Amino acid sequence: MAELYELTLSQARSALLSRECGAMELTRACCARLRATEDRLHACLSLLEEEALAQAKKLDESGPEAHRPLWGMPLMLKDNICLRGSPTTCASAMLRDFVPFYDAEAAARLKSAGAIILAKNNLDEFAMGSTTENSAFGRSANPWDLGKVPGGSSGGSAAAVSAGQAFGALGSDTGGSIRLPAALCGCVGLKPTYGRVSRFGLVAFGSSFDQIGPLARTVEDCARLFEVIAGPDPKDSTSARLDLYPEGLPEQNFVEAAQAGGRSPEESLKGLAVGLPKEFWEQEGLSPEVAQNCREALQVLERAGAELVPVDLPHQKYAVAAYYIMSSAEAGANLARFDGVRYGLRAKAAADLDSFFVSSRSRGFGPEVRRRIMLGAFVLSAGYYDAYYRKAAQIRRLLRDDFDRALSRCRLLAAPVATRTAWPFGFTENDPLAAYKMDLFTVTLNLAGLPGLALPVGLGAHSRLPVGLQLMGRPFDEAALLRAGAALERLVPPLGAPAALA
Amino acid sequence: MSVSKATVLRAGRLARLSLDEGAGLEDFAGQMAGIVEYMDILNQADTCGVEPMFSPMSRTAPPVQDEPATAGAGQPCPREDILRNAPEQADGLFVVPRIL
Amino acid sequence: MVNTGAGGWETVIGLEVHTQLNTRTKLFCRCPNVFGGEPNTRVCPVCAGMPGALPVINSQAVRLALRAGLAMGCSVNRSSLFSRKSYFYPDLPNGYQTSQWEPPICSGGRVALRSGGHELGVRINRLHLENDAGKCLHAGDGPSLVDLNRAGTPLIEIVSEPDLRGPEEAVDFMRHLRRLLVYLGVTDGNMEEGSMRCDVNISLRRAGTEVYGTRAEIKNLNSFNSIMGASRHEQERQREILEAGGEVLQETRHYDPDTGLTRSMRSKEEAPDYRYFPCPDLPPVVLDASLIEEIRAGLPEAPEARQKRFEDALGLNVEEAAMLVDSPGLADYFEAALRGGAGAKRVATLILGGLLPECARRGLDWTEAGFSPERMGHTALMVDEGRVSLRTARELWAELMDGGLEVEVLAERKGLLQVSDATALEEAAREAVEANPAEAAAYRAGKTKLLAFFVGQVMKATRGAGNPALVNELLKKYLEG
Repeated sequence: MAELYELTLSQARSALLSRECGAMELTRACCARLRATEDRLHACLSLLEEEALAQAKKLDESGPEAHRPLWGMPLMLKDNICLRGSPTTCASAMLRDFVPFYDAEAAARLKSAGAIILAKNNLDEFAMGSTTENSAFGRSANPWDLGKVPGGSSGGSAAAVSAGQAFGALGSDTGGSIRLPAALCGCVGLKPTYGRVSRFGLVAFGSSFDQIGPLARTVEDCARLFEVIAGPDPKDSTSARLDLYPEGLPEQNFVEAAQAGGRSPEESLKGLAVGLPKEFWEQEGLSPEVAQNCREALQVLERAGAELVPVDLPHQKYAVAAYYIMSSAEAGANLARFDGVRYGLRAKAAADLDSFFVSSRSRGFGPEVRRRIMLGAFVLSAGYYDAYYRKAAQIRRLLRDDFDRALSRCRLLAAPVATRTAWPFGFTENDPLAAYKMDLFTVTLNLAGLPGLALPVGLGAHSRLPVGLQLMGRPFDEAALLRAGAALERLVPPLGAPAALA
Repeated sequence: MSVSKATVLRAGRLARLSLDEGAGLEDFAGQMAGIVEYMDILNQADTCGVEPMFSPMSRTAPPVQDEPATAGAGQPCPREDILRNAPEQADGLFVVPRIL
Repeated sequence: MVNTGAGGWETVIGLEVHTQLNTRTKLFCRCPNVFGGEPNTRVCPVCAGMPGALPVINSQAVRLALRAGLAMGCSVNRSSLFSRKSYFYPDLPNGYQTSQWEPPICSGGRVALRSGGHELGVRINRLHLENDAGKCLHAGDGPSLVDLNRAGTPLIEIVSEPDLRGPEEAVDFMRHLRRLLVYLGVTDGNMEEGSMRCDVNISLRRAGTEVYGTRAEIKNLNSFNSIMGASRHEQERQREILEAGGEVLQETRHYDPDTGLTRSMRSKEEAPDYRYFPCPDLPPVVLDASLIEEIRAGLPEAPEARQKRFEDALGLNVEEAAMLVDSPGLADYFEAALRGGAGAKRVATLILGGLLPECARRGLDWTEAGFSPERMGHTALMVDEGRVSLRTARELWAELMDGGLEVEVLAERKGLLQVSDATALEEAAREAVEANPAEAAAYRAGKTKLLAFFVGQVMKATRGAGNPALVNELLKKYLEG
C-alpha cells in the first residue's frame, strides 16, 4: 500500500470521507514527509505544523464533512498570499517580520472549504524570478535533481507538491510563475483567466497580470482547488462578474470536466481543435528533448482524435519586452508602499525623510526587485512613457488579438511551457536578461489575460527531468483545459516519484 | 536607446533606491542598458492607431454603495491591528523621522 | 474690467480647488468618512495601504463629482480612468495617490459669478476624483507622527482656467464655488476642517497684452484670508521683480499666514516626476446616459438664479435674497413657508427679523429651533390678515418658539390681538374726534399732519391693538366726511 502522502488529493479526499483515515493522520503524514525532505528542498518559509495539527484534531472531532470540498486536506500557500496571523514574507527581508491581520480571499476560501494550511512556501522575492533563487531566505531545490532550480517564482510550492509535502498548494502567476515551476518539478499548475480568482490579499507584483492558481499532482486535483477559489469577489474590482455575460459562458464545472477527461479521454479529445502556435514550436533555443516530449504528447492527442491546427501569434516576438515593461511599471508602483512607515524593514537613524526612505528600501529589497522597480520608474518617467509603457500596452492589444484569432479556430492551443528542463543553480546569475527570456513561452498568456494549464508529459530523454506541456484557452474556458489536460494525463505514462528523493 | 549612468541614478532617485557607487552602479547600469536595449525591439512593431490595452480586465462590478461595511475588509480595523506591524509607534500613531 | 491696480500690470490667476466629498464612506473602502477621531481608528487594510489590499470605488463619490461637474456646465466623459500618481511621503500609504488623469470624469465647464460689481465668467478646465492622504503631525522637536484617518477621503479637484484677474476675484470665485458645492450637497464646505483647499496659480502681464507671464503656484491655501493674503503678496513680489527688469521663476511656493509671505518650495527643475499610469486595480468609471440624465434632472436651481428669482419675482431686496440663499437649506425653508399663502416679503421679514435673531440670541443654528415652515407660514399669514401686528409677532417670537401655541392664541391671551372690528374702532375714532374739537378744526383747515395725533388717541384707547390701516381710514372718514 502507498504511503498516505503519496495519494493524490482526490484519493485522499475519498480516504477521508470513507473514514479510512482522519485529517490528523493525513496531516501527520504530510508533516513526516516534510521533515524527511525539507532539508534538501527548502520549499517552505514558515511551518504551521502546530496550528495544522490542532485544526486537524478539531476537524476530526466533528467528523468528515462531505459538503466541504477540501475538508481535512493539508495544503500550502505561496508566501505572497496573506494568511491571517502567520508571517507573510514574500521571501523578502523587507517583510521578514510582517504578520497580516487579514486573509487573502483565496486563503479564506480554502479555509472555509475545510483545508488545513500546513506551510507557507518559498518563492522568488515578491514573485520576481523564474528560479526561486531570488529568495532572501535561501533558494529551493528541484526534487528531481537537487542541484537544479525548481523554477519560479512559485518554486517552493511546486517542489513541495511534487515531493508529497502537501496535496496541493496555491501559487501566483504573473509571467509564468505557476506554470514554469510546475513544468520543471513535474506537477500540474493552472493559471486562471485574469479576473477569475480574487487577488485580494495577494501581495501585488503586476496587478494587471497576477492571478492566484493551484498546483497539484494531477489535473483533477488542480480542478478541485480551482473550483474552491474561483469566482467573483467584491473586494477585488478586477474580479470578473460572470453574471454579466448574458450571451453565455463555456462550461463552469471544473471538477466534472477534469473527471470526464480522465474517465473517457478519447471521447473528450475527439474532434478537439488544438492550435500549435508556430512561434513557440519553431522557437530558436527550444531544446530537442523538450520538443521531442511535447511532440509525442501531440501525437497522443492526435491519435485520440484531436485535430492539430498550425496557428500564428505574429506578435509573440515582442511578448517578453512588453511584459517586462508593463509588469515592472506596475511593480514599481505596487512596491512603493514598502517605505518603512507602517510595516516592513526600517533603516535606523536616518538623517532626513528621503534618506529614511532610501535606506529602508535599499536594504529591504534584493537586487532583482530593485532592478525591476528601477526599470518600472524608468519606463514611466517623463519623456519615456509613450515610447515604452504605452507602446507595450499597444503590443499587448495586438497579442490578445492574435490569440482571439487563433482561438476562434481552435478550442485551445498547445505549446511547451519552457524551452528547456530544469537548469543548474547560478545559470542565469548576473544576466537578468537571460533570466527574463526563460519566461518566453509563459508571459504571452499573462499579457493576454487568458488561462493556461501546465502538465507533465514525460522526462527528457537526455536530462531525465520533467517536461511540461502548456494548454492555453479562451477566456473563462478553464474547463476545456482541465478536460483535455486530464485526458492527456491519462494517456501519457506517469512520471513516478521525484528521482532525487527516492 | 542606450541607458546612461545618469539615467539609472535618476530612476533610483525616483524609486527611492540607492545604488552603491562604483562597481554596484556600473553593473546595474550595464544590466539596465542591456534590458532597455532589448526592449527597443518594440520599435519594430507598427502600433499606429492601436488602442492600448492596459489590463485584460473583463466585465466587472459597478462602483459599490456608499454604505459603511458591516464586516471584513473595508471596515475600520482595531487600531492595534493597524499598528501591529509598525516598526515604531507612539500614542496610536506611526512614528517617522522629523519632517522639516 | 482689467485690474491695473498693480501699476500697469494685470494679475492672472487660476485655481486648483480640492474639495472633500460629503459621502458616508471613503473613496476606495467602506471606512467612515468623518473628520477627526482618535488617530488611526478609521482605517482598514485598504486605506492603510497594507500589502495585498485592493480599492473598490464608492458610487456616491462618482455621483457627487458628476453633480458638481454638471452644475458647472462641464461635459461628462462617459468613461474615465483612475491613474496612479507616484510620490513618497509618510502620510501617503500606497506610495501613490489614486487620481484621475486622462480622461477625468468631467471637463470643459464654466461658472458665472458677480465679483466687484461686475459679471465674471470663469472657465473650468477639468474636474476629477482622487483620494486624500493622511496627516503628518509635528509636535515640538520630536519625530513626526502619522495619522491615517483622513487617508482615502474622496476629493474632487476642480481646475479653473486662468480667468481670474486679481486676488479679489480669486477669493470671490472660491466663495462662489464653496456656496455652490455646499448648496449641491457635494461637500460640507468646512474650511477649518480642510474640506476645501486650493492651490493658486498666479502670474503678471502688462495690462493689455495677451501672453501670460511666468506663473508661480502657491500650494494648499485653506481659508479665504490666506487666498487673499498669498495672492496679494505674490502679486507684489512678482511686480517688484518685473519692474526691476528681472524674471519670475516658475516654481512652487508656500504661504505662511503668520508672516503673510510666500517662500519658494521647489523650482520647475525640481518638479516631481509623478509617473502617472492607469491604475490596474480599478476598472474605468463608465457612466450610463441614464445616470447622467438622472443627476442632471436632480440638480437644484443654481444659487444665483434662485437669488435673482427671489428679487425679481418675489420682490425681496438684494440683502434679503442673498441671506436666504447663502445659508444652506434656508431658501428651501423660505419657499416651504410660502406655501401657507402669506406674502413673500412678510415671510422673509419674519425669518430674517424674527427666527434668525432669536436663534442667534440662543446660540442655536436655525435648523435646531424646531420651528416648522408651516408655523412660519401661518404666523406670516396672521400678520398679513391683520390679526396680529408685525411688532406683536416679533415681540412674541421667543414664546412662539418655546410653546406650541400659535401666534394669534398667544396674542389673544395677552390682549394683543389686533382689533380689526370696524364697529369697535369706529366708536373709538368718533370719540377721539369729538373729544378734541380744536385739533379736528385745525385738521380740517389743512393741518393734516394732525392725523398722527388722532391715531395716537385711538391706539391709546385700544391699548395699541387697533389695526393701523383701518384706524387711519376711519379717522379720515370722521375728520373729512
